[in-house]
Formats: sequence, structure tokens, C-alpha cells
Amino acid sequence: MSGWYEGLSALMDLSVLVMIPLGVVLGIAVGAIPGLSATVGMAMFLPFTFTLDPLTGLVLLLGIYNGACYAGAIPAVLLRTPGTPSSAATTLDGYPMAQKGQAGQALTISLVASVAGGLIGTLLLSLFAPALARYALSFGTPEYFAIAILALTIIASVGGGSMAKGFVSAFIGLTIASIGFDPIAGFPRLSFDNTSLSGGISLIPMLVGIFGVSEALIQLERVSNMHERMTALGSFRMGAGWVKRLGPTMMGSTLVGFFSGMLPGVGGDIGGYLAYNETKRLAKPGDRFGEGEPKGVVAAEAANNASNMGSLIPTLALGVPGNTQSAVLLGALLIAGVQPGPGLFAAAPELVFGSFLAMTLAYACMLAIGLLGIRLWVRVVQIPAVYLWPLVLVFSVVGSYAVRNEPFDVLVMLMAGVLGYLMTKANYPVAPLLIAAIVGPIAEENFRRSMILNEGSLTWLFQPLTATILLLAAASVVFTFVRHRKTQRPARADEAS
Amino acid sequence: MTNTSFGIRASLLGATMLAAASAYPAHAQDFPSEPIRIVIGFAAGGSTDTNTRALANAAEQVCDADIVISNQPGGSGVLALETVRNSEADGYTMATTPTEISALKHLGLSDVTHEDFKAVMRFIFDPHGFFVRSGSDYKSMDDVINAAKNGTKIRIATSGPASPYAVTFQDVARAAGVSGQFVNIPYQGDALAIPAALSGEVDLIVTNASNVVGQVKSGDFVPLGVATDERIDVMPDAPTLKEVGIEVTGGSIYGLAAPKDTPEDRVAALNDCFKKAFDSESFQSFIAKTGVNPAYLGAEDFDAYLTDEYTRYGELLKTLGLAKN
Repeated sequence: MSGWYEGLSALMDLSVLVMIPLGVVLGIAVGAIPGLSATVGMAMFLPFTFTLDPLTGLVLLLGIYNGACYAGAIPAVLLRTPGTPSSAATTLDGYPMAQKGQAGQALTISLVASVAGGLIGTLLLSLFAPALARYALSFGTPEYFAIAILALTIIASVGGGSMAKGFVSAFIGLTIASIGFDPIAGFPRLSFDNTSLSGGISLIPMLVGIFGVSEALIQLERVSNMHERMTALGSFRMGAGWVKRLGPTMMGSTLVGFFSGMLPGVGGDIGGYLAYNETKRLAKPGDRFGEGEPKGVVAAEAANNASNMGSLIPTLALGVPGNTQSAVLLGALLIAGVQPGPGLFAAAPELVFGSFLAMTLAYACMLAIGLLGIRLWVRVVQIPAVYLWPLVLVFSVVGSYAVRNEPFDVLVMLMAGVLGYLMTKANYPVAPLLIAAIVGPIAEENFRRSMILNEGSLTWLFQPLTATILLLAAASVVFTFVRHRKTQRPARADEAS
Repeated sequence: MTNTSFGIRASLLGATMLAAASAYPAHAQDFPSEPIRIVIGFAAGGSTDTNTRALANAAEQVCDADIVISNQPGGSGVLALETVRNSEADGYTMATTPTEISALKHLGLSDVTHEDFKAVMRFIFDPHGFFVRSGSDYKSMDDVINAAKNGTKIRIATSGPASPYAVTFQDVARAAGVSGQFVNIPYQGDALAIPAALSGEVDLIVTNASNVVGQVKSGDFVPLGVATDERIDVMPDAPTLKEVGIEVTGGSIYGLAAPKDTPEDRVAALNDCFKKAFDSESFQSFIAKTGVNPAYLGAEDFDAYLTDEYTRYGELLKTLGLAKN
């Protein structure tokens, strides 16, 4: 209990309190610009924190971290372009909602889900971090493989109309992901002796291209065909009875996001997809996933913010970064002279508990700023398409160049844009491509490492935890097939008559 | 399109150079008269970035130079090295030297080597260490080597198949005559390798000492040997490999280098400036806080060091079956 008291007194400092809203605002700004991710924003402000005292600097970085994670949903809903990779799953239902004239509601829902996921995540983190850190260590290489397979089963369910087309899309994703260094043997694959290719295809430019640029091309084509239409904004309220309707999804997705985020290397993007898939599996009659179902937005956004908090568990309690953003946090802590790891909670309670309390306040700030800001951001969709989508193209170029000042990334972004455009035109879903590209390498690497660790034997597949997760994955696939056939049959019957 | 952008860049560069040439005759005493650019081959926020920025901040204060830092991550630092190799050799552009500079050509990943550069200085040497989790059967390097001699495979977590860590443990295996018994278990970076060693999925981990200072302090990791000549300040109780009878040193280096045709006097001026920065209070306090191991080498010594490392990496990567050149 004394930790909380020390945290509270450390927090009662004007410079710390000022950093809370400042961090959130900066985070929202970086997160909302496609291409600029939380990592880039945090790294940008890291040198600035050297001059601040540890808690002040940490609060600023945490504000950017969480603000960006929320704000990634804004362009995901309005422009079908996730602002950060974490919001990739948000596009699945967020953008259809906006197209149906519910942009306002979609933004409110994503805000509330982000705040709820973040707050519950902060609570779990502050209460159980050291114990959970030990638990996370029981997830070894075989379990990572099983989790990756579970995440890959989502491909079957986001395929839209045709499951076969979903698999084709996933296959393209796996091929793209295998460009670059072989994770186990260390040789470049599909690189054609090109240095840029041997470094692999970066996720962010691909994401920006496949969603944002392809959508821009489609919209511009529509404009040139004189199909300009004004999108309605709709209500900003979440509607009556939302707690009952969306509450369970919010809670469940928060837990999925939080626990997957605890595993180093599993980020908010995967957490969002996992939660989306679980939500879809528990769908009730009348839920229309992929066509603007609010539950889909809730699942993705609650999960990614909760995943942010989960990833702080290994960061603080083990001294091992949970994702790239917390690697920057780890650096900031070290430079401040604080050694993250098992001893941190006892050694620097004012810093640990002070930042937990600060994050609670930061989420309150985010809610306030978000509710005020939504009415402004939503106007984006009222910009005439002839101005809006060329602007999106310009931002996409700038954003993907900014990640590492590499012209090659711009090329990747443009090619991904064309690929996404062609696929959308031919009714191939792009989500499976992305999921495969993100999760495929994790599955491959952990499968091969499991084989090395077990000297070629497959017995590791039957370890209790691994087997359980794999069974869950198998159940997920069977379930999707059964449901797919149920929905297809009546439709065919209609066509026949 | 690519041509146009390169054209613009080239002409801009030309204009800047003309302006510089006419305004400032190239005398050593005028150097530096314009900002010095340091190209870092890794992302902002990482260890190379923070260490180099700390040094650059100190340099701006102590020797009245403007320093511009740009990050160009990719291919273990290859992209940044290639950029600097091809830039004007006037002392205004430097690269950070990644540890991998000794390995890239051997691995066939790039033809860039230390010979394309003039070494300016090394400022940090973060030694590799062998660590086991508490409660491990291996209490010393002797235990490990004896087990290997008896035919036990030792599974070692590293941050990648061809990582410098693998080169260091291979060097130890060679010195002890147990090549083939040390098995590399590659993870995607230390963030995944450290938990694997903590949980006991592997027998031991080879990693930079600074990565596990906290775990060693808390007792979760036991250091068996650190690959350096003298014990390091942040782990005073950790024996060196030399102390336990293994003549191997190896670690991550943080240094600066300029294109190979840079005039000697400018290299000397750069070295002078960054040596002052290295000795400054602000950089030394940064070092003390972050737990990295300061290890200054002047231009000539650093160049000799890189030459030796290049040969050593070549031999060891060959025994690991990873060398192409």
C-alpha cells in the first residue's frame, strides 16, 4: 500500500501533471497520421526526456504511447487507413460503419473502448504485474507457435464471401513475409541480392499502402465516374442500452488483449485481431461483422489499448521489452538511472505507482480530449473526395518515408497500394494478407525453433498448454466452416428459386 | 521518378558544396565550420541511437560543433554504412560503426568493410557474457565445457543465427576444443532470448552485459564469464573469461568512422572533439547511469582493433558454416 502513497505524492507535482495531457495530445497527433506510429513519436521525444526527472519523462512517453494507440482508430474509421498497426483490425468494421453514415458513433465507440481497455489494463497491471510476469515465462517457444496458429485461424473468418479467396490473400501475405532474412538459418530469402529486399518488407509502409492508398485509388476512381456523394456523420451517441450490448465484448476483448500483450513480441495488432476473432465466434444472430458491426470496433480497440498495458508487464517486472514501444520506455528508464527488472517495484515505488496513477489520469484526459475532438476529426469525411483522397496519398508518402528515411519504403507503400487496389477490385479480402504477413513469421520461427529444441521430435505439440491452444485453433476453424455453410445454403436456395 | 529525386538531391548537394567551398577555404583550423552529420544505422530509441546521441550532445557543448543526427536503420547497419561510404570525404559525415561491420562481407550481405572507412574512435565496448538462470546445474564455465566434452549438447540462446553473440560462443568453443557441442538457438532479439533463458528453455544465454544488469543484480541470472580483459564496473562480481582460463574477448562496439578518403587532419580534429566529449562530465554520468562499459580507443587503435576483429569473425563464421566470403 505504501507504494501507492509514494506514487501519489510523486505525482502531485506541477511538471508531472502538465505532462499528462501534453503526452496524450502528442500521442493522438502521431497516432492519427498514418505511417507515424507510437514508436516513432516516443523515440522523437526520448532525447527531450533526458532533461526531465524520471517520472515526468516517463509520464510524457506513456501519454504518447497510449494516445497514439487510441488515435490510430481515427483514420482507420474515417479513411480505412490504420494510423498505427494496432488499429489494423479496427478497419474491418469501423470503416463500414463510417460508410453507412455512422462515423460519429464509430469514433465515440472506439474512444470509449480504448479508454475502458486501457483503464482495466492499468488496473490489472498495477495489481498483478510481478505475479503475471512469472506466468508469462511459462509461455515458451511451443506456446508461441500455438498462439500464432490460433491467430492465423482468423483468416478463415475474415475472408468475406469466399473462403478460397481469403486463403489466396493469406498466401500472398505469407510470401511477402518470407522476404528477408531467414529467422533461423540466417540467410536472405527472395532478396535477389538486393540490400533493401534482404532487410525484409516493413510492416508500416505495407499497411499504409494496402489500406490507405488502395482505398484512395478506389475513391478517386469513383469520383472520376461522377459518383461523388456526401457521407453523413450520424449521431455521436453510443445508443441506448450499449452497456448491455457492448459491455461483454469490451470486457472479454480487454482480457484477450491484455494477456496476449504480456508476451514479448506479440503486439496490439495481433491482440486486436485475436479479440476480433473471439468476438466474432461468440456472435449473436443479427450481428453483421464486416458490414459495420459496432462490436468489431469495440473488440479491436479495447484489445489494443489493453495490450499496451499488458506489454508493460515484462518491461517493468522482467526488464525485457514487451514490444518496440516499451523498448523505448526501457531505454528512458535506464537513462534515468532506473534499472527495470524484478527489483524495480521495491526500488522505485514512486516511479512505478506514480506512473500507474498517471496513466489513469491520462485515460481520463483522453476521454475528455477525444469527446471534444471527435466532432472536429469527423469533418474529414466531409471534405470533398477530390481533395481528401489526394491528401491521403500525400500523407501516405510522407508517413512511410518518415519511419526510417528510406525511399524503398515509399516504393513498398505504392506497390502495396496497387496490390490492395487490384485485390479489392477482384473481391479478394486484404485482411487475411495482413494477418498472414504479421503472424506467419512468428509461426514459422517458433515451429522451427521448437524442432531444434526437441532435436527433431514432434512431442512438443502435445505439451498441455500448447495442445490446448492448438485445439482451440482447430475448434475455431471447424466452427467457422460450419457457420459459413449455414449462411451460404439459404443464400443459394434463394438464388435457385 | 527515382532518377528525378536523386537528381534533385545531387544538385542540392552540389549547391551546398559550392557554397561551402567559396565561403570557407579548406583549412584545418576552420574545421568544423558547418554541421557534422552522424548517420546511425539503427532505429531511434535503440542502444546505438541513445549512446551516440549522448556523445553528440556532449560534443556540441565541449567543442562548439553543430551535430545533425539521422537514423537510417536496415540490414544490421548496412544501409547507413553504404550511405556514408559514398558521401563526401570532408569530415562532415560520419557513421556509427556497428559490431556487424566485422561480419557483413563474410556473410555475403554487403561488400562494405572497415577498409571503406577511416576509424575516428571507439567510445563504448559492451562485452558479451555467458549467463545461466539461478538454479542451473552449470555453476561455472568449467561445468559447461566439461559437459560439452562429455558429449552433452549445450543450447545457447542468442539474438539471431549470425549474431555477434554466436561468434563469441564459437570462439569459446574453439578455445576449449568443443566445437559442435554448442548449439545456437536463435531468437528474434534479446527481448525474446532473455525470457527463454530465464524460463530454462535453453541452457544458457550469450548477450551484452548491459542487457542483463538488472537480472544479475536480482539473482535471476548468474554470470559465468564476461568476454573482456578486466571486470566491468556494473558487474563487479562477474568473473572475466580470462580469469576462468579462456582467452576470448568479444562484445558490442559503439564507435565512429568517416569515409576512407577523409584528410588525416580532419580525422584528428574529429577525434580531438569527440574525445573531449567522451571525457565530459555529461557523457560520463550518462555512462554511469546506463551501465554500458566506456572503452575509448583512438583512431589508430580502433582501426587496428577493427582489422583484427574482421579476421577473427571471418574464421569463426567459417566454422559456424555461415561464411560465404
